[in-house]
Amino acid sequence: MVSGMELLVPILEMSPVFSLAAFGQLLSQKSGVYDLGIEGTMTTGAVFGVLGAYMGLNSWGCLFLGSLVGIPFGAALFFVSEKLKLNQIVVGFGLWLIGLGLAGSIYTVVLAPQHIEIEAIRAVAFGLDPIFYLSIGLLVFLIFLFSRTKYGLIVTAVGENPRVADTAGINVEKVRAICVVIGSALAGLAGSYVAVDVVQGFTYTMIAGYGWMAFALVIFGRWKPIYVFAGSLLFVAITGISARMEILGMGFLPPNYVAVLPYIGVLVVLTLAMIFAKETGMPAGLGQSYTK
Amino acid sequence: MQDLVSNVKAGDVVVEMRKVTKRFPGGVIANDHVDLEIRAGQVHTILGENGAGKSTLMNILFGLYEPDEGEIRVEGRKVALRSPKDAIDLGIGMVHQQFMLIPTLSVAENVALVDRSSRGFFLDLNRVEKQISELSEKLGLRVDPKAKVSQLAAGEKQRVEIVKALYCGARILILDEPTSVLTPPEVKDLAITLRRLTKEGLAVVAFITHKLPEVMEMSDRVTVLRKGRLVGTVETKSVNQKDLTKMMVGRETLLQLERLESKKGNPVLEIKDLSAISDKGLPALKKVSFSIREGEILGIAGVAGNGQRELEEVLIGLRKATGGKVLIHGEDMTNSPPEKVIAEGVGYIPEDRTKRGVVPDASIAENLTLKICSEPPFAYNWFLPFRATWFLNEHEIGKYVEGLIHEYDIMTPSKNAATKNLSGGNLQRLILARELSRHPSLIVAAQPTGGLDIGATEFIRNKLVEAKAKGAAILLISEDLDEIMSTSDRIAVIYGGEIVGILAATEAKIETIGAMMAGIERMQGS
Amino acid sequence: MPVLKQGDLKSLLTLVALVLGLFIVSLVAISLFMNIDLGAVFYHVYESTVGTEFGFLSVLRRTTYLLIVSLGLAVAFSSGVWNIGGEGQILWGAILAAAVALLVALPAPAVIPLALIASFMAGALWGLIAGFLKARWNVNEIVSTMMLNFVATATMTQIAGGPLRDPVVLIAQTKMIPEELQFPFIVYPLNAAFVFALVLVPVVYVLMHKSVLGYKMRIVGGASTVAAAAGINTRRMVMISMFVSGGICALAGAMLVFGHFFRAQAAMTGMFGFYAIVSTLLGKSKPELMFFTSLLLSFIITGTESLRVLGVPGSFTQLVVGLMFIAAVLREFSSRRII
Repeated sequence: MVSGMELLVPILEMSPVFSLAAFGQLLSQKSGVYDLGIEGTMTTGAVFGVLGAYMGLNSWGCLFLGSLVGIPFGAALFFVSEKLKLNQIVVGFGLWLIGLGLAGSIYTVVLAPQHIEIEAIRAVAFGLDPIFYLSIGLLVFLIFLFSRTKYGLIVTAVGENPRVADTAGINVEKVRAICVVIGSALAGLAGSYVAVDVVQGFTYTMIAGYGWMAFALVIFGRWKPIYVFAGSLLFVAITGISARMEILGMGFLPPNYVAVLPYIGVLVVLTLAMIFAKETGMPAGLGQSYTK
Repeated sequence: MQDLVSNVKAGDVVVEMRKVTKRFPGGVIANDHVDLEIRAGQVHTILGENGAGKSTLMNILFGLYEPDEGEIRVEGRKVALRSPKDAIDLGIGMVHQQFMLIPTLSVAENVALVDRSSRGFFLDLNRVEKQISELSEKLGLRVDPKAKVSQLAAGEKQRVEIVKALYCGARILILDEPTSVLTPPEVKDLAITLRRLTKEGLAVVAFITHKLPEVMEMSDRVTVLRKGRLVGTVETKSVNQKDLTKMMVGRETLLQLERLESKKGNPVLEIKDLSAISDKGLPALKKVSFSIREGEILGIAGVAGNGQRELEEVLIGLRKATGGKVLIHGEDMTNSPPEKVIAEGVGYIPEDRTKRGVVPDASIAENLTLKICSEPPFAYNWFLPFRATWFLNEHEIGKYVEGLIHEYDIMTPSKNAATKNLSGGNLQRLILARELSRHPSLIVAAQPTGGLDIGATEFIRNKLVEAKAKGAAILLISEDLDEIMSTSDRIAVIYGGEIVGILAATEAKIETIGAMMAGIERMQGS
Repeated sequence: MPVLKQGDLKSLLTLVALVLGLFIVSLVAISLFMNIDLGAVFYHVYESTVGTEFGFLSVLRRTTYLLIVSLGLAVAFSSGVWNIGGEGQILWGAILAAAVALLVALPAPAVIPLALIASFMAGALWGLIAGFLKARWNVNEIVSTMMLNFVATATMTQIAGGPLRDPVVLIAQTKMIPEELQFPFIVYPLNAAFVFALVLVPVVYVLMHKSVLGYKMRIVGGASTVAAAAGINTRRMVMISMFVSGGICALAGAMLVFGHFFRAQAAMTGMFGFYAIVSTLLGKSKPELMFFTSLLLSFIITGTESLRVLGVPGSFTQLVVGLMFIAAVLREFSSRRII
């Protein structure tokens, strides 16, 4: 039987993959914009993480490059959905596929023939690397942001009711642009983290579905940072369990279904929230572009 | 937040509007050389019917519109108000009818959103809460800074809006129809609040359209507008309600159309003690009772917001009645879904044409088919060997639609053209065509001629009268008093969700109706 | 009532121009990026799609499945319901088709219709879940259908790797269906499924534009408040819409089993469930246009795929389709400005 600590550390170590991306999605959605391209952004971030190593950057450089790559995705999403006032959902899907295509193409063409060594980031404390601590820091920051700062209030207002925010003198477009772009950058970072730290390389299926899990996490966590973080730990645990079910003596349960428990979970949570909760936490203005 | 004390003394003129004129496309003159003086320390009311120009005038003062002619002076200086920001900077604040609040946030958070003094990163909610408490105590505005807006009643939300405006330094406060969302006790609270505010030196402008008892109680001065023009400004204590009614409504001539006398038959619609609540949770209909017979038009007169919309919706089945009965042809149709109500022979001409009337992206033909789509001969079995109404019979529908377009004079290049390009008049013809061609025994018509030109208006009124002559019972809900007086056989006046009087049109005098609409008169036994 | 009107034609041309334009741009980009001769790129695209008989038939073959799914999505979209669950519905259709084909011991003329009915019902019920959640509790259908996709994939892997598994191979796929059930080829590689898809077009058209039900669904999609005021039961329409939509998409899965793979596995959808969203949007959910938009999309996909021989990665296809999504959405934009 594995000890508690031995179970906990891998979960915590892997959690930034979900939590960072989910935090990014959270920021974007709090301001009212669905980022359905998150899976594509993460995958591209991952590839660029490896690309960085190929170009000789150290691990930190790779991570930085990954997050940098998220920026054009966010900018594109913002521009087409808010500036041109076109359908967020369709644009998001488009960016998802573009991201997948771009990442896969770059990998196949540039990287596959090479053998890339990526130096893992050294653990800092308790066997956990700095990125994990970054995710904790981000959690604290987000909690703080939304409870004690004017900016957090502004973002919430923009996502709930852009018209009211507008009459209060807030530049709705600017706020959404910032949130969407930062959100995408975080997704890119999460992607490159997978490449740099978790897998130390790139495989086609590495991000498979993680972006969607992050998206689901935001809803599962009812748009509150602390629940999103807790959910990310839960989802990592479930994902890990589903891959090791034989070893854990749970071979009698269907592993495929365990792996999709997070998705079922989201559906259940959302449905229950719609039935019972007076407040689902969902920003009322989510999904609609704002016209004055 | 600026200090409430200013250099202005009570009675000084703080806002002067001179010969303000505003025209809108289509030839509408919303404000026609209106003069207005607002003084500090006073509550000034702007009174008038719908369409009198009150909202436009105040929107100009708040910077939402720019006047075509005239000038505005604030504290003696000429100003140009190009946006609400300009107005707010000058100390003018507005509380709209639709509250600009975010329900999931607390009062303090909503106020903090507009707080201009703190540009810093940190949100000092404690400071904001403290300031709100101070303000609220000073002025007697009971507001709980920590409460979540979604849980507040309308009156409380309104107080929050007032606090918000004051927080931004408003010394001139404009309130748009403030009492329309309040319960009677809340109205009393508002009156007290306004008094306190004026004691502090504020100038308060409230435009209350028609609730004269409140005007009398709350205001120091009243300005009456009629059809865009200034009728006069008086000191409230020097006039009585009858004088005001006359100023508001007083007409010299009245369009008397030929009222077609027709035989009245059995009651088609009977409403007994009908009650309902509005979207905001307040009672909108309070034990309303009336009946309409075949061949009769009952006009419901009243200013918008007194329960007409809720009445319309309850009758059609789009809103739940919380009490009472609706009987159509003697059948209890209370809370029946629209499907059943329509099947019982009810035609519906909705007030909100885009929300309830037509599908903009669908073609004219498709919109005309809306009510008949399931009925033979328009629905048939096509190639199926058994009887069914699964398919649309395009041949029959085509004939029907062409006929309607012709009969109702709907101007369109083809029956397949998109509906969104139709003018208001044509849109209404479409709706009328669709409803009347089914020969409904009861027609619920809400604001049928709203926003239409003379030609369309006449056409529609004639069609309704025609339907009446053929035996339909018509419920005509309208804000246009002329229309009610000239078309109805009987007139019921609705005020505050109650029917305050029903009388035969031949006996109705416009002053009486006006007084009932304003809430200062009730008929015996109402 | 004319099916295609003049305004339609102009907007269709703008659309084709937009789509082809983006396609050409991406071809140029890939040739520059990978240092491939642009001429070779164009040659391969041409040859694999319209230049040879085989190529053209391949395009048509791909159109088959895209078309079926597009039709299914069109039903949902025109009722105002965003059915993103095509992938899952296709898989359910495939599961049932394979199951019936492998387990029911009846002659082909009995098995195939049975399988199709079972497929349809499976996809329909799967779609109905999301439809019900939306109608009853207003649960966002984008989220619900997307989540259900994953569950469907898990189910497929479970079944293909479990009870119906082909013991010979390592990956999770079902046994091959009996030969007599496999659809014949019209002209290799085009199989009978193509005919099925073509037949489905007028069926869906009749449903959407000639039946009372279709009319009601479209009104609900056009303005649900007006529909409600007119006595249409909007909740029921939403559920029916998702039911039918899911069922049709599932039929695509059945076609993939009977006409192409002759078995079922998780990776068989070829992302059609998502790709078809493009053709549905490009065709504005009009059944009569679905064939052409599916054909266009198929042309682009097939052409892009053919570049693999030049070393272009398979992922490039996803990139191009992603751009097509952007094209679909930009078309909305241009039609607003250039009326």
